Amino acid sequence: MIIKEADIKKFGGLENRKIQFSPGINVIYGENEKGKTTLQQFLKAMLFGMEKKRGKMSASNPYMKYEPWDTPSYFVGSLLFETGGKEFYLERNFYHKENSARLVNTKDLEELSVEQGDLQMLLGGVSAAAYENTFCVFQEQKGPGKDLYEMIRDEKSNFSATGDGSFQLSRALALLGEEQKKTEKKQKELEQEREKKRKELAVKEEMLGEEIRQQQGKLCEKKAEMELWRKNILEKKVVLPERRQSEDTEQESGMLHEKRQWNPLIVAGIVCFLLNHLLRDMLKLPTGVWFLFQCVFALMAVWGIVMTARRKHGEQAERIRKEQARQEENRRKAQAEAGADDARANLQSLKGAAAAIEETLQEKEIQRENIQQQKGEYDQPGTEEKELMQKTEAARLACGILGNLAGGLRDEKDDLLNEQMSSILSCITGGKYDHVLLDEKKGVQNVVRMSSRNPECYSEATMQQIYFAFRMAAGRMLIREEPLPFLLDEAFSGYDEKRLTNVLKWLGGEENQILIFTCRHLEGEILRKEGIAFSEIRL
Amino acid sequence: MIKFIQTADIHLGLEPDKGSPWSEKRKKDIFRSFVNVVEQVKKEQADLLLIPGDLFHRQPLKRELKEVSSLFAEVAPAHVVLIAGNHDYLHPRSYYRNFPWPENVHMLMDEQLGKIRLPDLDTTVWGCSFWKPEDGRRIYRRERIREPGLHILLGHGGDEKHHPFSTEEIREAGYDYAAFGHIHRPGQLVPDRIVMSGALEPTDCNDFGPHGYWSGTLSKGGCRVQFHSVKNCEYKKREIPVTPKMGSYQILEQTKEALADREPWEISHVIFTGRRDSEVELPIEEAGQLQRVVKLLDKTQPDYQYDKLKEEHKGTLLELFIREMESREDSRLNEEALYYGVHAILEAMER
Repeated sequence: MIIKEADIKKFGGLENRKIQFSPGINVIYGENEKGKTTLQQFLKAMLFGMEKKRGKMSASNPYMKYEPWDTPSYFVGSLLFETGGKEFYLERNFYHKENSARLVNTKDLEELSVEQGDLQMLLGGVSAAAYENTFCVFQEQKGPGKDLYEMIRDEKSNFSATGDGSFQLSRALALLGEEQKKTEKKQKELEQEREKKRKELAVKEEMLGEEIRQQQGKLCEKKAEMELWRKNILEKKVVLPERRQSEDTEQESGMLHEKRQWNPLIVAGIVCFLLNHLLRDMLKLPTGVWFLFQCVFALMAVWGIVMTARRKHGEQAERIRKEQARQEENRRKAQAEAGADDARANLQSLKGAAAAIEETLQEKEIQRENIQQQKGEYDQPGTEEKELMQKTEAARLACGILGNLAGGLRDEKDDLLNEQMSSILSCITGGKYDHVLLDEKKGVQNVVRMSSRNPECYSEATMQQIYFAFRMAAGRMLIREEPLPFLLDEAFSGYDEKRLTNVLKWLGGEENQILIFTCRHLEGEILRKEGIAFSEIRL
Repeated sequence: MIKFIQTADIHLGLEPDKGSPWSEKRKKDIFRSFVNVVEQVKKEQADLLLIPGDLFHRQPLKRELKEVSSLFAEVAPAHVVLIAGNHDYLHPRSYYRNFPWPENVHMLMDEQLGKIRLPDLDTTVWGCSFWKPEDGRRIYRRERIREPGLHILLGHGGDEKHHPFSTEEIREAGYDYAAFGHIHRPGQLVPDRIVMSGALEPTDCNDFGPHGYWSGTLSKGGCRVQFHSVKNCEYKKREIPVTPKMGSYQILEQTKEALADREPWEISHVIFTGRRDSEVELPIEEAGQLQRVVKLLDKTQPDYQYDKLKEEHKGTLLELFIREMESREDSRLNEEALYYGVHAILEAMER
């Protein structure tokens, strides 16, 4: 932006003054009370407006300061300036009851609206505070206001994106966080659904497992029972044939017994009794002896008969007993055989039952395996779930990258600001001080031999120079869109000739329009000596 | 000359698209279609029904085997030859192992390549069954068959983990015909010679295209096969082109319109394509509630012209972010992150 002409109707001590300015450096020379500061205030007020404030602060308010004493309502001026290759006419009435502004494109006479922010737009969206703390240096100011630190902090954490608005990183990050939460929630829902299905199947599996265990138990029981019956049958099979054999031998021995039933005593007695008759006749035995023998033999026979009878009786009893025993045995055998048949039948039915159980068991086991397989299919998330997971991941990734980039950008901005401050100060001090940095807590620091100090630690002039460097660098950072004019009111009053030369040289290299207000001729002389083009304006 | 019918990957017992309203019907349809194929054997007086694997989706239950067994018995004297695939593989307790099939049914249960000779057809059918869900052996590679008569191979597989094979291997082995299962998309790997049956019915919503069974005639002189499609269900992709001018309502209307002329057996995947206004939310939920829509896919790009944005926002975080994301590898994740980031940055700009 280049201010071409200021037409002051009435502003403080200035009245009906038209002043033309050139691009580049303008040195506005004037003795004390000629209105240098007033002119500077007028230009700033024209660009950014001026309001009457009420209350305690009103005394130091420029409005009160520059309000015409005699004609308070005639508080008017206009400005001709050029920006973006177009010339504009700006007219303001500062009088608080008729505060108005008019902005016209001088070429096509198109009326623009200051109220609607057209002027603000031409100024690149820069605020009055930003301007006052940077390119617009007032005489009475030492360091820039605290506002500047805040503005820089904001600027660093905001990433002005298009110039037509400010971008808030925190908002973008919060939006990404919301997106993340949203997709995550949906995914969790799907996961829960899947988990529910899995659990349902797990319950089924469990139930089948229980059934299988029961069946296995039953099968074990049946098998044990079968084993019992099998043993039973086996036992009976072993016992029965043995009995039969011993019976057979007994019967045989019984037969033998039958054959030997004639007692030899009887036979001998009878034979001898008969023989005794023959012997009596043949040997002519005395009758006494014969009779004695006869008696003995008769006794033998009788004894034999008695014995035989007794045995026969015993045998009879024995036979009956045996017969009874045999009958008993037969009965038992029949019974056992009937029992074995029963056992066999039982065994058979048990076998059938066990087979049936085994079959159900197999069926259930296969069912269980199928369910396990099916359950396994729910172990992994489905495609929809995976997509949501990816979306969540994408939002998280974007959030991370954005944060990192912003951090990097912030560091870059820090670096850039420090670099620019350092280079300007180095320029002014002829390389004596070449390291200035902005500390978050301590503010601007001049670094000498690895230790940093506040500007206040230095001489008044050096302090001014450090702050000047800070203002200019901060101005470059905050005022990017439109190069606004530098308004420097007695900014270099404390500078020695060397440093003044240095700073003027530096200004000579800047593209902005520069208005230097001074009461000395020194600036003009140096510029002339250094061959730097400038215009001189005398108030 | 023998006449045969071939079908594989029937996946009996499967409930496709579980949870959807048509799931139960599809399960029944699959069984119905299988019954139809078996009946077709009788109708066409075919000599042979070939089932190269995955008759069942999981381990068959006894009653299920009884059911198909009685179906198979009906087609006698035609022979039925089958193998177990990777889904209904021969588990140690599988009912397949000692199921009493009718005389006309032959299951090749060996884990190694085995055969069954069918003297009445002068045909030998070769094949083997899966004993576990995965088996990466190249089981079909073998020396050339020199025995007389017709030779048919029943195979199941084709990918790395399931009996991989190459058509050359099969050709060199000298089979007169090879019937394969496993891959669900039907096709003639070598025309009239090696045929991938394809699933009888689509079993998964990603089984696109037609499905059905094959019939053919085979003699020493050669083979001729024919595909018969079964139209109970067909999954189709329906692309809905979206433009930045369309709102959510319009997109939904467009979707409805696109689905209006569908065949009654179609089940659709709705895929949104094109560019959408970055502010517009796609009617995913609403479209999901339309009838016979199984899947919705958003392939639209938000209408951000990143190059233009970079130019317009030069030197800002936005440009930096776009550049950073573009320098990363091309992946869906990065693409989405780019979109989310740009969206958030633009949203966070006060206008």
